[in-house]
Amino acid sequence: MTLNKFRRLRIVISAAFFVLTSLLFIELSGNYVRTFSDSILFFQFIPSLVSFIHTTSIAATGFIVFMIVALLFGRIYCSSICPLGFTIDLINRAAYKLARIKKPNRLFSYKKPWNKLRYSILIVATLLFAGGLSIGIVLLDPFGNFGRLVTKFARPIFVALNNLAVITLEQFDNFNLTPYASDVFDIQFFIYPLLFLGLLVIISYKRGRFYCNTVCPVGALLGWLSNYSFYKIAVDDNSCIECGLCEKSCKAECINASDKYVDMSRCVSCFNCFDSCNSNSLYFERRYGKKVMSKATETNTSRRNFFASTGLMTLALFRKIRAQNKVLVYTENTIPENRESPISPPGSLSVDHFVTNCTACTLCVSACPTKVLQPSIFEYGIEGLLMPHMNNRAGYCNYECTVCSEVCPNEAILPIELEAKKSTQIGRVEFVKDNCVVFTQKTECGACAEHCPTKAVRMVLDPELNLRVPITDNKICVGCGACEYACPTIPYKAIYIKGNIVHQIAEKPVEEELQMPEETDDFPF
Amino acid sequence: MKRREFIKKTAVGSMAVPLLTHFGSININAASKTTQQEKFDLVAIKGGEPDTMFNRAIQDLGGMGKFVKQNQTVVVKPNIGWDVPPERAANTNPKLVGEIVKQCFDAGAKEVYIFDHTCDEWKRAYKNSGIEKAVEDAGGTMVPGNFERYYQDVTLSRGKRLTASKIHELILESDVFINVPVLKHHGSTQVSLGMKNNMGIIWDRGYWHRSDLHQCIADFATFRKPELTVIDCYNALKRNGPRGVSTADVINMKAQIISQDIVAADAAAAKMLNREPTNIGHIRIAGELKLGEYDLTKLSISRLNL
Repeated sequence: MTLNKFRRLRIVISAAFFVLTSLLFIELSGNYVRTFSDSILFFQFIPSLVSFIHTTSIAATGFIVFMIVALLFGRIYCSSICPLGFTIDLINRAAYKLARIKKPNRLFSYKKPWNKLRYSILIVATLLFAGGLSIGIVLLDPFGNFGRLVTKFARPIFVALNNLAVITLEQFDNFNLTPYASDVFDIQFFIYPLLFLGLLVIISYKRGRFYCNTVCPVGALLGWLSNYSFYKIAVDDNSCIECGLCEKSCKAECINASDKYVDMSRCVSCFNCFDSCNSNSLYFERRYGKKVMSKATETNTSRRNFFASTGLMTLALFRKIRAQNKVLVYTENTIPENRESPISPPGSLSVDHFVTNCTACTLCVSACPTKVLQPSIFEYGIEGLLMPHMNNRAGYCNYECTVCSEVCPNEAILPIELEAKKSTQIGRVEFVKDNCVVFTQKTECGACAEHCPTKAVRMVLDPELNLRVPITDNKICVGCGACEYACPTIPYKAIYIKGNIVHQIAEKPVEEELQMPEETDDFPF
Repeated sequence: MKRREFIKKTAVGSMAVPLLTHFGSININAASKTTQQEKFDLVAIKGGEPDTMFNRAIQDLGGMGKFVKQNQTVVVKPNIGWDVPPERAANTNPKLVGEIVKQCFDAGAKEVYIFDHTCDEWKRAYKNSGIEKAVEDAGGTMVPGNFERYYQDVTLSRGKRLTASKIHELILESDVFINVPVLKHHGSTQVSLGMKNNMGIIWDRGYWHRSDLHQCIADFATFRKPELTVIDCYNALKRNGPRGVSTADVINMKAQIISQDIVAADAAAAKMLNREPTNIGHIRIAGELKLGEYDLTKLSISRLNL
């Protein structure tokens, strides 16, 4: 058998998936994500699972494929497809490189599994999800976490490099490269990804795929299935020379060389062991109802409590910081906006649908051309932690755009036709007269009406002021937030969007016939 | 680019501009009696395609060569504010912009730049307005306008409410500035024309909106006026401006107004929308500041029909 070729194949496939998936989040023009998101995301476990629950379509069966594969050969997904798994391998490799250890894959040793913690996490996350709370998945899902890491740490580097290239070319009067706006830096959106990355580096440094085998709910589910896999990795008693190299090379720490035992539930199918074995003693064996050794251990409850309490404490530490610009001549207004509900993007049907299905992977945030989609902290409540919402201070929803619905991997934002989107009301306009420039400064403004695509806000002459004042019409408002974004008042907006908890259909703007002037050759002057 | 030099030059120029233009216009009138070519202050034309109308109208102002000299750099500022197709008349007609770029090159321009600080997402607006393609076909260069780093601080010594602003460096650096707005209704300023179009060459529009919009628009004209204003009245946005809701808001006027005097051009265009120039705040203020002539009876106008 030439099983040691498997390792190389696995490396090639996983590197390809890592690059292709990363590009979804960092390719700046957004063309790539629109073209390829469906085919790449098909293979991602959680996105495919969550969207399958809603669409039950063949296009969302990627997770089933890998569950079947797990029942046949084990957790192929974890080493070949999962981008976070590849990231962990990279961290691991880098750690050894930094420590100048020449043979990086020879330092692991068999460790007992933390099965009680592992399956508890899986069960709790599943129960929460079944009860409509995706927070467990949001915090632990490998794809979502990977997405946030790339969006928060890699994408800014690419934006900066691109813009540096733009500036350099401009010195030579070349404007062929497109600059991209860098995201506004807000520390609160970095807290969780930073915490996650920190913990990931620490536990992966010495313990390899410990995250995958203890925390990750996908790893736990596929691991549980792999316990019953048709083929399992076994050691040939006759040829094995008991050198222990396979155990040292196993980053899942699931090979016990002295007992010649491989814990298939923790094996991530990296095939390093095949490669390490000098006597070719490892092979796939059919599991003919042979009883698998059960190696259950005591669960360390203090560790479990630690995870729960650190999570909650960090959340409690979040604080909101609002930057406020000052202007000298203009008198600042005093009435704060009274937002009752967050605004979820068009296509998400309702806040409820959105929060139950979003895994906060932030792919839509990367893809949104106007940057109106921003991660939230507590806007949706604790159950919607980190999920994107429409932040009309950052931008507004382009009337002619449906990109977020095209790229969402788990149908939290369902695909929506442009015409349907144009009449989807995600929120309603709210006008605060006493904040408005026209009323407070007694001068013309009209920035809100300028931007409104449906004229749900328009300017009407106020005979008393002899100025044009905004008049709003809730029925034709789509809640795009252009008026709010454009409103120049400080510090509070005079016009803003109140989110619709359940999205509504906006009425079509009435089109009156325009009186055409008579054709004439004369000019009115 | 010789940015510092240009800024210095324009700063000095800005102080001289009000004097020069005021007396300059008198000089042009005086000269017009003798030379056929420089007879008109303003050309109004009807009945053709945007490019053919411009081609004809510019002759009555002395031809493009009068404005663009050999090896000069030109910045053309159309209205590309919105992510809507050309027939919606929220953006300047792409055919007209393309023709202007072409004529600049024919007159010997070294480089022709086009930009707008758009309202809607800029890449989509550049593309869907049709202007990006028209410009590139004509050999011009589209430059981004939605990034603060392109904008330079300037002080406006004659501004009443607008005393400082950040202006796109192309406006400061280019030899020739051609303003190409589209004739539009506007919800608050009533019309959106040449001076209003200047809101797309500065960074912080919000400041203008909250600090007496009409005054700020007029204040800006004390700083930098275009060498040429071409108002596209081919399709005009008659109501629901400046963005419009649908093509039902558009009338097909097939007209164009061009002038060296931005105030005169705005006054004439306002009349095309049945508004009295003196009723439009910023046109009245600019006229009172002697930044141009809004009384059309005092101008020599070429009226053409194709």
